[in-house]
Parts: sequence; C-alpha cells; structure tokens
Amino acid sequence: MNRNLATDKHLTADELELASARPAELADEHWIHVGSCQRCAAGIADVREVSAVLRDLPAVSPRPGFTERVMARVRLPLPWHRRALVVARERKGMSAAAAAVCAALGAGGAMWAIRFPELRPLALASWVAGQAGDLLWQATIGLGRMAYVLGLADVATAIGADLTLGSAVAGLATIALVSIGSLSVMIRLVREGQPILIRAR
Amino acid sequence: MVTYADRSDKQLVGLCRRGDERAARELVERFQRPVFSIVFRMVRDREKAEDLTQETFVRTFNNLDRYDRSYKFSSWLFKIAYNLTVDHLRKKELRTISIHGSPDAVTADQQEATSVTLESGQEAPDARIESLELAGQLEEAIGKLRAEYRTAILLRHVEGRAYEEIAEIMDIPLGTVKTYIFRARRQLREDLSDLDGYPEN
Repeated sequence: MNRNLATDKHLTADELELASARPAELADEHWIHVGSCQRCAAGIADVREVSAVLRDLPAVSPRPGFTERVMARVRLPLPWHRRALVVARERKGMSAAAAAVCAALGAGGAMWAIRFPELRPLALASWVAGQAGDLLWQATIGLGRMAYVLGLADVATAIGADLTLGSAVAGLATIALVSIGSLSVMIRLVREGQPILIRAR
Repeated sequence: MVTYADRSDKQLVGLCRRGDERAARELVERFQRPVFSIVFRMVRDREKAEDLTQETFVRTFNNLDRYDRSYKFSSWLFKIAYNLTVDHLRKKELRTISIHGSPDAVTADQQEATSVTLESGQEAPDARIESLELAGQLEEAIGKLRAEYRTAILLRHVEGRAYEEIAEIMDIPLGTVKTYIFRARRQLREDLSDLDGYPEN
C-alpha cells in the first residue's frame, strides 16, 4: 500500500480519510509530504471537520408505531405448517381422504407389526414396495378401463372388457399427467408459498 | 438462547423467507432509523420521508425472492430507498429547504406534521436552542448539496458505509463516488465555515 511518495504527489481521497480517521496508519512518507503541502494539510483538516460535524448531526427517527405501519403492509411467504393448514382448509374433501388413507396405512402397519414382530425393516420396505406396485397396476387397469369407456365403447362392454394395450397406455398417460400436475402444484406451493397479509398486532 | 436481535441480517432474511414475522420486525427495527435519516435528509419533508421509508421496507420484504444473498442486505435496502427517493425527487423539484416543515405546507398543522423533531439529548435550554440552531444550519447546508453528493456523503460519514458499498447502492463507479464525496465535503466546508459555533480550521 505504501508507495514511495515524491513531494509533488498529493494524497488521494482514501489517504486523506485515513490521515483524518486513523493518522497512525498513514505512512511516514505521506506525513512528510503533508508537512510541506498546504493543500493536503487543508484537505485532512476538511475531512476531519466535516466528518465530525456530520457524525454529530442530530438523530432523526420516524414517528412511534412505524414498525406496526410497515408490518401491516408486508406480505411474507407462509411458514410450511400454516401453508399446509390453508391447503387443508381449501380442499376439505381431498384432505379428509388423505387423512383417511394415512390413518388406514398407519393402522394396517401397526397391526402388521404386532402380528409379525420379527419383521425386519428391509423386508417391510420390500413388502410396501410390492403393495405399492400392485396398487399402481390396479389403478392403471382401472384408469385404462375408464379411458376405454369414455373414448371407445359403451359402458357395459367396457366394464366387462379385458385390458388391452390401448387402454393400458391411456391409463398410464392419465396417471403421468395427474402426477405431473399434482407435483408441480406441490412444488409451487412449497417454493413460493402463499402470500398472506400480516396484520399489525 | 439466540434472540432475534443476536442474529445477523442474512439469518433474519432467511427466516423472513420462511415466513417468520418476528424476523421481519427485527429488520425493520434495525434499519428504520438509518434509512429514514438518509431519506429525510434527501426529501426534507418528514411525512414524505416516512412514506418513502415505509414503501422501502414494504418493497424489500415483498420482493425478498429477488434478493441476491451475495450482497449485503443493508446495501440492497439502501439501494431501494435511494431509487425510490430519487424517483420522488425527479417527479417533484424541491424549491426550498427547511427543517421547519415541507415547502408545500400551508397551515400550521401541515407544517407541524411535516417538520422534523431533532433529538439533541439532555442539554440545558440555552445550549439546546444553540445546538438546534446549529443543527438547523447544518441541515440547510446539507440540503444545498446536489442530491447525489448529499446521498454519497451521508452514507459515508453518517452511516459509515464503505466506498464500494456506496457505489453499489447508487449504481455508479467507485471513482465517481470518491469525486462526489470530495466535492460534497469541500462545498460543506465552505458553507459551514461562515456558521457561528463552527470550529475554525
């Protein structure tokens, strides 16, 4: 930082401030220059006086209640647990169904654990995966039939009809679309949150 | 236990992003005085300064998702305040400068509503009047500076911001910041040298 200062080189703005605020940190060569340079000496005095005056400016503050007035207008994202409550309130049917499924799964799991206490976590995971695969396959078949009913034949034929490649593909496509849609909604809810108005207390 | 007051600005911003209202309150409490102080000295009207400061915080919190964490939160806040204030000043050319109220105030009530209360601590009545007079003259001298000079010098000497941070806030090159501050200081020094009670060089 220190440079070999020739006497005709004036102090920079940074050096003037350093000389004013922390004189001990300014290199001796600079002080030698200041000793023989009226302009730099006056510069240091200016910085010192103006800084002192500005530092002593009276404090000004907004009127009491400022924070409340700001908070009344601020919208923050909802915390995740309140966001979940909002979703639950808005979609009561879906929430009830999800809660019922969770309760059934929990009860089933508990009964299973009581009946087979020797069950290992890996085996349980394997069983759950197998059940989930079966469920998915059944859902595929069901949706395939539904697609078949809606698009291809009358109801009676459709319900009795065997699974065809076309209905299976239609079913899978429907599942994929529904999953992507639900996932994107969930991701948006979690990432962006739902803005709320925070009321002043 | 770590309280909100103990947390860093960035930690509080992280909490705000998760919807923590108390974190937002803490940030408002922490920065309302410095932001208001700069804005008030820019617009010279208490009511307008409060509106602009309030708007600064509201915009800041409502746009937290746009905040780049590599910047200091205070820089971002001051930048929003600066932009809002400059926009306001561009729309409305200020004609006169007074700590005794807005130039647009016609009635006594309006003058009182727009004037600023200077907090000058515990002083004897005479000393207080003298100090307030000097403070008023100082405010007048600061008010005579160009808006850019005023912002730069206040950020530097009142708020103690680094040159680099001021450049970021005002969106100008570092060299320009130094020039602004140098010129502002020189002009202030000239204006203040005539004041009674101002220290002689």
